[in-house]
Amino acid sequence: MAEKAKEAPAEAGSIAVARRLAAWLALAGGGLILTAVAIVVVDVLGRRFFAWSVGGADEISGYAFAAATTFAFAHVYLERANIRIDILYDRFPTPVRLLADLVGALALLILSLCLLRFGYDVFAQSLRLGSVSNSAVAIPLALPQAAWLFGLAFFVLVQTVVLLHVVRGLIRRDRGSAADLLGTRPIEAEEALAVPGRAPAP
Amino acid sequence: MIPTALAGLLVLLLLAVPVAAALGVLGLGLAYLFSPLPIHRVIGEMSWSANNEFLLVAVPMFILMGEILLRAGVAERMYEGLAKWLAWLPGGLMHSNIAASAMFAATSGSSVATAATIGTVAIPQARRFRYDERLFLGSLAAGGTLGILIPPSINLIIYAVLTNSSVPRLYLAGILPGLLLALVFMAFLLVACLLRPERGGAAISASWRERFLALFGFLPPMAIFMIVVGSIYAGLATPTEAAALGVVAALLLAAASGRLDRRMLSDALTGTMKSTAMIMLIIIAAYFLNFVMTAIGLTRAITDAVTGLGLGPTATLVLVVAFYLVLGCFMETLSMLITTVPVIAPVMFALGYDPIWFGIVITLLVEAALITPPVGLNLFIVQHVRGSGNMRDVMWGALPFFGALLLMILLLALFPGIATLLPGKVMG
Repeated sequence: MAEKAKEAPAEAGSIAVARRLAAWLALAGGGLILTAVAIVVVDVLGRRFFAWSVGGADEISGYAFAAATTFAFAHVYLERANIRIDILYDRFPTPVRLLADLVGALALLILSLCLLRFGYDVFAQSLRLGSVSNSAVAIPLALPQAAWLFGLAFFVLVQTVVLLHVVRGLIRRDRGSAADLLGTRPIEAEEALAVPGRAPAP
Repeated sequence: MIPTALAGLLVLLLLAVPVAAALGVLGLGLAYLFSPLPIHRVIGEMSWSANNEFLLVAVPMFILMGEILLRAGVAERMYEGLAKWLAWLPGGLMHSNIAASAMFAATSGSSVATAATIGTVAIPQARRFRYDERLFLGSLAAGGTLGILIPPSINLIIYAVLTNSSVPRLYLAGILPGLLLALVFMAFLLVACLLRPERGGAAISASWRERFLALFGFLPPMAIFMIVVGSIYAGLATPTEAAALGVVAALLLAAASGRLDRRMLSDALTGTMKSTAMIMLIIIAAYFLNFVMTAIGLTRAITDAVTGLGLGPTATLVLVVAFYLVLGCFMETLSMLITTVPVIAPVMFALGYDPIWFGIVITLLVEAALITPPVGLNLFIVQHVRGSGNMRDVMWGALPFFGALLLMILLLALFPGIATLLPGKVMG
C-alpha cells in the first residue's frame, strides 16, 4: 500500500520534531539557570553593598533549577547522553545488544513514569493545601512544581514516541532505528565538547 | 537482602541499563520485595526536594562557568606565561601543562573542562617542539584531573551533599593536596626527562623581562579564583552564590576577549543543561535508592557486615582504595561517586576516619579513575582534542601519573594533616 511506504518518513518526522522541541526546551532550561544566576548575584551584591536582599533568592533559584533539570531530560535522552556502562555491552552480539537497549529503555521509562506519577501527587497536594514557600516572597509551590512536572511529562512523552518508533521498526525487521535511537554512543562522540580552535590535524 | 541487592545492581549495570534507571529500578524492586509499606511513593517528594536543593544549584552554575571559560580563550595567555617561567626545566612545556592545569583548576570545578581547556592550548605545541608525545599527552590528562581537587570542585559539592559535610571545609582541605600533587606530577616529569633527555623536546628559554610581562596573563584566572573561592572565605557568599558570581565573572572575561556572542552562549547553555540533567537524574535515583536502603535496613546491614569482618581501619582503607581503583576502570566517575559514597562513607566514618579527609581521598581515587582505561574520561578528552593518532598513546602516557596519584594517596594516609591542617587552622 502506498500509505505504508509513506509511514516511515512521517515517523522519522515525529522524531525530528521531538528532537527540535527537546533541544529548544533544554536551551530554555539553560535560560532558567542564567536567570537563577542573575537573581543570586543581585541578592549577594545587594546584601553586601546596600543591605538589601531579594528575599528568597535561594528558593527561587532552587525552583528554577528543578524546572531546568526536567526540561533537559528529553534532550539528554535523544542525544543518548545518559551514562551507561558498556564494558560488556560492546562485546555483546547485535541481537543481545538490542535486547539490552530495550531493557534499558524500559527501565528508564519505568523510573520516569514513577517520577511523573508520584511527582503529580506532590503537585496535587500543594494545589489542594495551597502551600506556599517559606520565605517572604511566598510563592505558591504548585507553580514551580507544575513547570517541573511539565518537563517530566515531556520526557515520558518523548520516550513513548521513540519506543513506538523502535517497536514499529522491529516489526518491520528494521533493527537500524533501534540502534540509532537507543544504542550507546561511542564515548568520544559523547564528549564532543565544541572545542574552539582545537588542535589542527597535521 | 545484601546478595539480592548486589546481584540486582550488577545485572542491571552490566546489561548497560542507564545508571540512573538501574538505581531507580533497583530501589523500586527492593521496596517491593522488602518493605511492607508502599514506600516507593516517596519518590515524588524525594525527587522534588533533591531537585530544588540550593547547594546543588551550584552544580549547573559551575558547569556553566566551565563551558564559558573553555570558550573564552583565557587559558592561552596563562599558558604562554607559565611556559616562560617553567619551560627551561628538563621536560619543558610539560611542566607548564601541569602548572596551567593547576592554575585553571582554581577557576574550574571539573576535571574534564580543565583537561579540555589546557589540552586545546597545549597540544599544538607538542609537535612543534618535538616532545615525547605520549608523556606530553599523559601530562595533560593527569594535570586535568586537578580540576576537582583544587577548589572550586563539583565533585566535592556532591560529596558534601551525600555525606552532609561542609563545602568550605572540603574546599580548604583540597588546596594543599592539590598543590602537592601538582609538584609530585612535575617531579615525575623531571625524573623521566633526566633519565631520557630526548623525551623533553627542544629547549625553550625566556628573559626575565618576558617573564614579568607574562604575569599579566595570570590575572584573569586569579581574579576568578578570588571571586569564587575568596568570596566563600570572606564570608560574603555560600558556595552556590560563589558559583553564580563565577558565572558572571566568566561572562565578563569572555565579553572582554570578544568571544561572547549569542551562538557561544546558547552552546554553553545547552552543554550545561545536558551535563546537569544527566547528573541530576542519577542523583535523584540515588537519593531514592538510598532512602529505600535505609528504610529496609540494608544500609545498616552493610555497615554491620563490613565492620563485622573485624578488619580494622587500615585494612578496610586498603580494601576501599582497591575497590575504587578497580571500579574506576569501568565506571564513569560521577555515577561511581553518587552510587558508592552513601554506602561506603558511613562505614569509614564508623571506623573513625574524618569525613573531610575521606572526601579528599575519594577525590584522588576519582582522579585515578579519570585516567585509567578503558573508561577514563580524561583520556578520551585529550584524545578528542588531539584529533589524530591512537588512543593508546594517551593511555600509556598517563600511566606514570597514575603511579603519582597512588603515591599521593599513600602520603595522605600517612600524613592526614595534608588535608585536615588548613580547614582546622582557618575554621577551627
